[in-house]
Amino acid sequence: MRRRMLAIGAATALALCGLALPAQAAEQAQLSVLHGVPELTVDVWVDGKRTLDDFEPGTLAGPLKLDAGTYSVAITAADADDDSDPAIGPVDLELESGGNYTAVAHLKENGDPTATLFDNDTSQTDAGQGRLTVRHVAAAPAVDVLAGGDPVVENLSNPDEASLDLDAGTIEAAVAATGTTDPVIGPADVTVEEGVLTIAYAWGSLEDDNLELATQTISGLHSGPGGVHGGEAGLAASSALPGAFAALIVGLAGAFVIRRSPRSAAVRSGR
Amino acid sequence: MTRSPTGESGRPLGAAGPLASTLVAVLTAVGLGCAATGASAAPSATAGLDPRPVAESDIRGVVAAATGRDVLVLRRAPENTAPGPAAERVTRRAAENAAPEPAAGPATRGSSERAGPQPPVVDARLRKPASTRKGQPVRIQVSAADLDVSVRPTGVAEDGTMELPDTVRRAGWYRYSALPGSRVGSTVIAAHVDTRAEGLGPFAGLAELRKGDRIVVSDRSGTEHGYRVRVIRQVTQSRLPVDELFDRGGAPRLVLITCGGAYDARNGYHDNIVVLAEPDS
Repeated sequence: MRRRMLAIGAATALALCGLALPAQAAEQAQLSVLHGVPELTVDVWVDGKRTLDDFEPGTLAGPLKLDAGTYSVAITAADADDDSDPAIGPVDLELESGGNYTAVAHLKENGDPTATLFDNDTSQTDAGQGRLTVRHVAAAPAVDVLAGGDPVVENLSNPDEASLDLDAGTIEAAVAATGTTDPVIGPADVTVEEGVLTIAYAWGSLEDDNLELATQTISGLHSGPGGVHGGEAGLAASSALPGAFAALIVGLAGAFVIRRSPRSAAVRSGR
Repeated sequence: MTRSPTGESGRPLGAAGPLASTLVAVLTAVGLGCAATGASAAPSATAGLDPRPVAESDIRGVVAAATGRDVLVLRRAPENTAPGPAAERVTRRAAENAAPEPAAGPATRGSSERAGPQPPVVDARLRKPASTRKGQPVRIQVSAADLDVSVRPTGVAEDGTMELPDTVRRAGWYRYSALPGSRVGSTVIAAHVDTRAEGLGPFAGLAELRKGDRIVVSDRSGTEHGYRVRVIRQVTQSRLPVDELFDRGGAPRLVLITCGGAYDARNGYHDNIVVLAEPDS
């Protein structure tokens, strides 16, 4: 009786497992919002509702867990009564099931405010590595991203992005006008954590001399190492003899089966 | 019962009477784990505990075989599986943000127009992650195995496997695994069982451990973290369930790994010896 109840419990749990994962993890999308327009405190409206109040430049909100679908986002001055007179938008954000997004309010290359929806690459990283994504959302011409003084991303324009999977560690990152090495942002130490997506945003305005770096991190991309090779001399090979013994028994059984039935012997010989 | 039920013998899980109820318990545990995972839509939810058939997963079988009904539940913490400083920061910031909100809000605007609680807002300026140096393990002692070795952080070797110190006199703590004493996830410490230069090392004693034996891991700050052995098993190297053993979520636990089993000169050891221990609290 007890066993039967446990079995029912297990079946229910497995059913939940099968249903709950696709139903929740797959259908909801995650949306973060980065404010990258200098000197402008705003409110963010999603489908006509004030979702972020007094949102300051250089801050990151979220993630909001939202059902897949299209959302209308408008950004107004912080004291607006509704979203009828937006400073940016309204823009339609299409969020897919299971997607991870960042909507960025920022300046175009010419200095006009705009909003861009970025799709965050949260696919698995190799053991020991992390991912660095750089996004150009500043009122500035194309740039190069330098690591330790060398360009690792070249000719990145607003509002483009580039991604690199790197060994976990700290890199000295800087941003320079493309083709140059004289930093307009940095150099600054950026830590790439293992199994973590670090997104670096170059935001602000070159003309107004307020270019800055903003970062966002998303964890949980890690994977385990390929195994553990913990020995080399064979001195701990305690089961070598039992192993050989087992092989002998399997061999004898195989021989027995060969005499009884050639067909099943063919299957067994695969071992 | 002495063999791992999912070992290379291929004996089906649950064929033996006592194993059947154990399997059910494990299935339940796995199911609960999945259900908890489903509640979190973070990317971490898709890593690690995939809902593949349990019989293919060695460690769950291993856990079942060794612990009987008293199953060590390998499940994820329902939320915030990344225990890093960022998460704490977010939480703190969220609290700061939440506090003044009710006072400032309703006076000027109706709260009914709000789309629900304000999501956490954090300063996005570049900052260094908090140092974990003080919590790093530096020593492991297992009196039952006469084992007392120093520990250093290691990462990933060029071939993608876990990097280990070259000497048997030192163990490696997988630096991307949980710190000892962490509230979630697996703390992984591994070492060579032997080297050609040194012969057999202290980790050879792992195979002799029994359930309940005490393990002490000391960190750099001097804190000692006690564990009790729950499971010791021998697993074919190619089948080592790394996703479970190196899981960053789930109940806090200590995983010790070395080599063992049959040996041949070309391929080395065929198996890993794995010890799973629970915090001693």
